[in-house]
Amino acid sequence: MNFLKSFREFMTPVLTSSHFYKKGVLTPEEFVAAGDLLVSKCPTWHWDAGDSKKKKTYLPDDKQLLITRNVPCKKRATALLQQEDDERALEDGWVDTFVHHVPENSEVVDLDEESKEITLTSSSEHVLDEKVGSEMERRAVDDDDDDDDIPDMEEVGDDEDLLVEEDDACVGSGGAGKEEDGEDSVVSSIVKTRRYDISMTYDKYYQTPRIWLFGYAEDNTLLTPDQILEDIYAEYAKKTVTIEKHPYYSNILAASIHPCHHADVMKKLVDQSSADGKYVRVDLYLFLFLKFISSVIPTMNYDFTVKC
Amino acid sequence: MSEAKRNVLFVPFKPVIDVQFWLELHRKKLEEWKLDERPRPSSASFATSSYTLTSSFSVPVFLNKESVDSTQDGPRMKGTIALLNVQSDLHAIRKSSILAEEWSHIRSEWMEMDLKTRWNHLEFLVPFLFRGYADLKKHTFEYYFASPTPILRPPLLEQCCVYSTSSSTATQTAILQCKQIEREYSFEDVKEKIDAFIESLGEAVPWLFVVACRCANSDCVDVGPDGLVCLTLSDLCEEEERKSICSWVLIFLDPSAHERAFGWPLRNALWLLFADHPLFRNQTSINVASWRRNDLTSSFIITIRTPAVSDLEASKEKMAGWLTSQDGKLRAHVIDMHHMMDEGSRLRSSL
Repeated sequence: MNFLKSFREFMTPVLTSSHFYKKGVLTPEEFVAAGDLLVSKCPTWHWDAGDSKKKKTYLPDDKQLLITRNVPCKKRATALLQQEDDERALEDGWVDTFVHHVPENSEVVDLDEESKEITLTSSSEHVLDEKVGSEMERRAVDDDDDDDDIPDMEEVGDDEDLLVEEDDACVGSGGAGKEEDGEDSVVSSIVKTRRYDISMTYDKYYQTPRIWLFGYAEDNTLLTPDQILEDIYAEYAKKTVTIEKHPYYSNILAASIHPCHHADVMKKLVDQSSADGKYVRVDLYLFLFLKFISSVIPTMNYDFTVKC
Repeated sequence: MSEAKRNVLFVPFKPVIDVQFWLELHRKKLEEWKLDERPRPSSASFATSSYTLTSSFSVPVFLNKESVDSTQDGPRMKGTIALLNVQSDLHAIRKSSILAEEWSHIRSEWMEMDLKTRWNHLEFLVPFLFRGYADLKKHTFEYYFASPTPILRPPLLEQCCVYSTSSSTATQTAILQCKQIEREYSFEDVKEKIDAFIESLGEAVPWLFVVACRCANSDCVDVGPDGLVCLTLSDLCEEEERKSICSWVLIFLDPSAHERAFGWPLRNALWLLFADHPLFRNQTSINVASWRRNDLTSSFIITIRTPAVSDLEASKEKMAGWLTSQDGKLRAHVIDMHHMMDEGSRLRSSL
């Protein structure tokens, strides 16, 4: 399959004349020009040379792909879908929300008692961290049942705890500094999130940009392909979005938004803008493209571009 | 303005490691390093403004493909990477002494430079070490990460909080006072000067510098905020520069988001400033600003009491800085990449 794909791409000539308005596609030069504009207007994006062995000759050496790193993804796209299902239009024009929501405990609770419990159980971010951590470790242990290859962290290096100096000046070290400082127990307003490295390559066969995703969990470990699919709008997961080898990074799989319909969608968007009397310059292609891509990955907050 | 006497706290580093780092490490081990376990020079970076992806209990250190090669332009951190050949050797590394060795090595390298030059190399103040074991067939990595720092006993103490946004009149608070012309400079005056300094230097702006009143001679006149100047620590190694200023505040472009604690990079810097820098000698206390460009409302300035020289000397032997696991224990961190590897390459590498 990969061989066929590579062969097909190899046989496709490099597009040399612009068909942007006619077909919604880009030449490599137009991709570079659009990328340059994106990088200049949105510094979160930058050009990358990728693996030198995978270099494409039709692109400049130092402008092989565009990348933006550490894009936060606060919630799962699947949760977003559930949220949409929870709304129902009423006859009087109002919208009923949370229609499928059933409280876990419908009994009336004593708020004073409840607040005491909250104080006791969630007053420290470390408690949350521990919960997340223990869940991660539980999952890791569960995984280990199936696969003995991964070392069991529980068995690693416990005796070294005794060798670590108590550090009074380190936040969260458990040293005197923390104990004396009651403010450390305040739950931080900053939320840990999944994060993504989003890269954009030029697809020679489809003659459009192509999006690739690497994901990292809240504890900085790598997300599995299945976990990445949780952050893609369900309608596209495993259809438009597939797990494939990244074209610039050796032998590594990444989630990719397949570019087969990109040109059609881009042409429609350009035509629509023209009908509205707005002329879309070809170097604005990526700004428009990123807005369209956000419908596929709605919970990744990467789009800091201006409204086109 | 509030009176307080408590430990100066620092938010520790936590590595944020790019997938490219692991791939490059895998390639290096397989093709170049092979069985060689010697530590290799490496580089990493941290943001010079608070980074919102992680909790306020950690400051992210970014490791990427270039980190493995130490070829990164203008790195903010200087460290070493070593991959051990045997898993049990990794678990048995001498964690208590390896920090002291690393710190001593980096410090001696730094001290070999002349006084002015060394303060242009702030990356030496933020050393790190990465010790790992790679199972190349199974595409799993185990690692320990540390950012060595001497433990000061007794710890640094906050003398008072000069500026805190908890005060309703915070922006109007005088944070610098020129003794000669009896003029007070507000937070806003200092902000204007720092913004201009950062804009003029861009990415090359040092993460630690000084804002000072340049009016320490008898014939100076009140020129308003223009009397303020931003100076690098290297500039201030010159006696002439030091003589030209009166009061000053140390500005730290802080990656920490914690409401009362500085980011880890300042920790070694303070130690060395107190030990080595001529501006800091003979001071009983200094004002240090945690400057948070992304969210200036969370910035604060505190007065730190200068430690005794004997305390600084005594602290060389006791080190801290290992990254612990979620439960606070010192365990190897595990990265499993096998599910991300192409089936073909997994098959080839297992043969």
